[in-house]
Amino acid sequence: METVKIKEPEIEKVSSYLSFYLGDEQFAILVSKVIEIMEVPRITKVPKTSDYMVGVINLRGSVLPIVDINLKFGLKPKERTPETCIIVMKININEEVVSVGILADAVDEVLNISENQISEPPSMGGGFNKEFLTGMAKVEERFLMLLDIDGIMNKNETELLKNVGSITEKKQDEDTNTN
Amino acid sequence: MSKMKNTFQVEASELLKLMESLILQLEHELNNEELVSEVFRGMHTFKAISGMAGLNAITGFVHHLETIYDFVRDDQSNLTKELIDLSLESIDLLKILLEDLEIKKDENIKHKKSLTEKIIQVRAKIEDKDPDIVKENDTKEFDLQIQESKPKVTTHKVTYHIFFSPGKEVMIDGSNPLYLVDELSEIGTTVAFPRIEKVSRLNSYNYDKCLTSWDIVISGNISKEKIEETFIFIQSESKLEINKISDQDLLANQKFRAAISVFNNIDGQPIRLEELQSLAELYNKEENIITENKADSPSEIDDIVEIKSEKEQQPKSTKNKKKSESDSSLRITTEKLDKLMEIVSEIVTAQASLESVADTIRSPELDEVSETMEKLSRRLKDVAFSMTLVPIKNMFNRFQRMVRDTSRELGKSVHFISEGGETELDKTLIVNLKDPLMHILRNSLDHGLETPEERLLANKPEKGTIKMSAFYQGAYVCIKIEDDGEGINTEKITEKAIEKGIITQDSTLSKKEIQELIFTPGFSTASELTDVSGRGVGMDVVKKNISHLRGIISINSEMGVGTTITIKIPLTLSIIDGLLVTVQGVYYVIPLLIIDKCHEVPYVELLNTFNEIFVLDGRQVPYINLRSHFSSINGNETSPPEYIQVVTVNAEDKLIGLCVDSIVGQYQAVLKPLGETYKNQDFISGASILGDGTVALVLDVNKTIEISNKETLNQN
Repeated sequence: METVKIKEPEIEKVSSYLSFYLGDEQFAILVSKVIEIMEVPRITKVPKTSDYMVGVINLRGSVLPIVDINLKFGLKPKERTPETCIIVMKININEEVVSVGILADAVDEVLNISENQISEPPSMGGGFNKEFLTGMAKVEERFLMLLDIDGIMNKNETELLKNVGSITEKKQDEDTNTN
Repeated sequence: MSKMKNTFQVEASELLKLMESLILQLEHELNNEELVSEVFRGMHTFKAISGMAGLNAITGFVHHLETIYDFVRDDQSNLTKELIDLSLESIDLLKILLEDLEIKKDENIKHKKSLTEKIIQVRAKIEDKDPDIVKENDTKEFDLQIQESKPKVTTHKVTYHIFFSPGKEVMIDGSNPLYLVDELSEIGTTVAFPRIEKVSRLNSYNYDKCLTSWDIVISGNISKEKIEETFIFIQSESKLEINKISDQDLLANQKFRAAISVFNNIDGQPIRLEELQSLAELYNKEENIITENKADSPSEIDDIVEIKSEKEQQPKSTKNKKKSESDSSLRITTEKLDKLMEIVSEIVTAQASLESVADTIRSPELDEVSETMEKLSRRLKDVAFSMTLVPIKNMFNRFQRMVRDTSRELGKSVHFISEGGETELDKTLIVNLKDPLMHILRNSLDHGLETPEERLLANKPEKGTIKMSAFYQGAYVCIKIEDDGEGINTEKITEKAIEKGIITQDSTLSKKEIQELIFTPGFSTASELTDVSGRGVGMDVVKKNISHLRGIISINSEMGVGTTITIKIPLTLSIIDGLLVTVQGVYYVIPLLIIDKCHEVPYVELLNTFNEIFVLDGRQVPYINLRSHFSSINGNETSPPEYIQVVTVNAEDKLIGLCVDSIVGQYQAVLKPLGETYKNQDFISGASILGDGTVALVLDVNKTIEISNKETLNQN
């Protein structure tokens, strides 16, 4: 109790994060960015797009693009399970706020993470590109990777294609298309 | 107030456009009386709406013009080229003033002043009067009309005559006799005749002195006391005579109004009471009959008011023919229209899901309802959509003016013809087409047409012709700009292109390809730059703008004969009729209007063709296999069906087959944007949500073909 009292005047910033799984790794994004979580409906693939651009869905009458971050990161796409869902979030693309859905293998919980729990992202490990992370958070004994979702969507197309090109060879047999 | 001004700006700018086109027409038909009347009416309306918005400076300015046209109506010979120039100049000024309603900017004040002087000169010439007097009379006359424009509906009670001559010093303490006259109109119907015979010429005019007097006829539920009350604050110096002339509401009698309008002589003497009383007696009798016949309905009075103003301001009393036309149209804000379109598209979507539900339930009753709904929503869509379309005419009229001015500047004589002005286009399209078309016209005028001397040497009529026409062509609107100028000199162009490094010495290009070079960025053939065009940023920008509208621009030129530039733009709609097809399990919508036919072809045949061409109906048709064209990077293809469907489409005058897996049927697609994340996929013009909630992709066929062609070229 005493330590809490001492810490208070420092105005420590605590933010709410939504944690979810991509493969076996646990990630988190700011709750303020999340609009809703939904089941995976039928996805329409737009031709001539990178694989991680899974397609578009109908979100109550408007068209929502869906992104598979697993593919974006160069991970193996997971089989769709009943746990798989879409996290609809607001992101900034070219200074415009747009809604995008990302495929998550499972959504975990909403938790509060204070600033001092967050450290710089590690420079190696997990096959994740560190530029897509804003940091690592240590919660209890787990590590959560904090996604920089705006950064992910703003990487220019050539850079993305480079990534995608290297992955596709490995994943030719995988079906990223729900159809 | 600002709302009122906004309304004014909208109405005024339309009115100005109308007047501009009328005056331009008038320039060619100086004897057309009908046109003069229309111009006059336009000005009159303009004056009225500006007065209503309280913009006295503008109202005053227009008043001068209106008066001139009033004289022109009496004597058409007054209509001179000079006057037309002046009118057009005035319209230009008014357009500028719409952005500066209070006339605060110095340049506008100056401009207005100099133009007003000119107009007054013209007016004086016509009226055969001293300009100063004209100016003087004018302001007063104009005040009078303002007052008269707001009489109140009354019950028929009594009629008074008031002679009011305020003291000379009345304005010094800040009171304005006009306000008093105005106040009178609050208690009854008034007709006021100002008398300004005492007013001196402008050079000796004293602004502080009030020299005007008024003859006022007032009727209504009033008494002498009531009238006196109005003037209670006026100094003893003022002269005020109030006399009852009738126990009836004579002003409700239009004949009486007409009769007393003879007193509307600005320089005239005050009304003699006896004269007025005898008139009043004459109409008293008639009034009795009228009141017996018709109970005084307010509408009747309204009519009279209308007629009165026409009598006074339009001596020829030409009935306003345009009136019924303007009454039948309604001004709606674009936001409301957008909202409507949004709802309509949602209804169309909802209807589609109703249809798919009906299909699964298979109940005859439900089918019937669903079918009725389908028909209704289709009609609703058509009606709502037609509301967003505007005829291209308005834009053509604007060009008329531009051509006129530019040709004068260049010393060329041009006959500008526009055709197909009734062709309707989406308003946003029209807005975006304006600049490109303007540029093309300028080019035609500047580079295309020769000077009159050159034309005579070339055995052509002295006057050049530029024809602009618009027409529908399938899913497109075509706009053609034809001139009979010198045409494009292909040799000159080739030279220039080599010089600029656009092509190399040894490149062999067809005539058409050479002509197309003018659309290359940084290309300009005019050896000397002119003000009008020739900055070298022209045609490539035009082409870019047109392709932003998903349109196509092409050029066809014959040396010495002329040049034709054709712009084709799709009727981009928020709802399109399409054919729903599937390719590898994904739904696509192909716009129905460009579809020619559907064929069923065995898949094997596809494998046995060379150069992706097969024969359909005895014709060789190149095709695009959407299965392979759209195959995803990871290549997980479903096995092809035994028979594939070939949809032949008309794309850029060519027949091209699109191979799809299956045809679902006709479908009304509500176009939804795919959004920023798919901005590079421009061969998809949007998405549409099907009845079952699945997203279908709407194909931009031209772009698809373009991309496919590029890919084939790269492969080779």
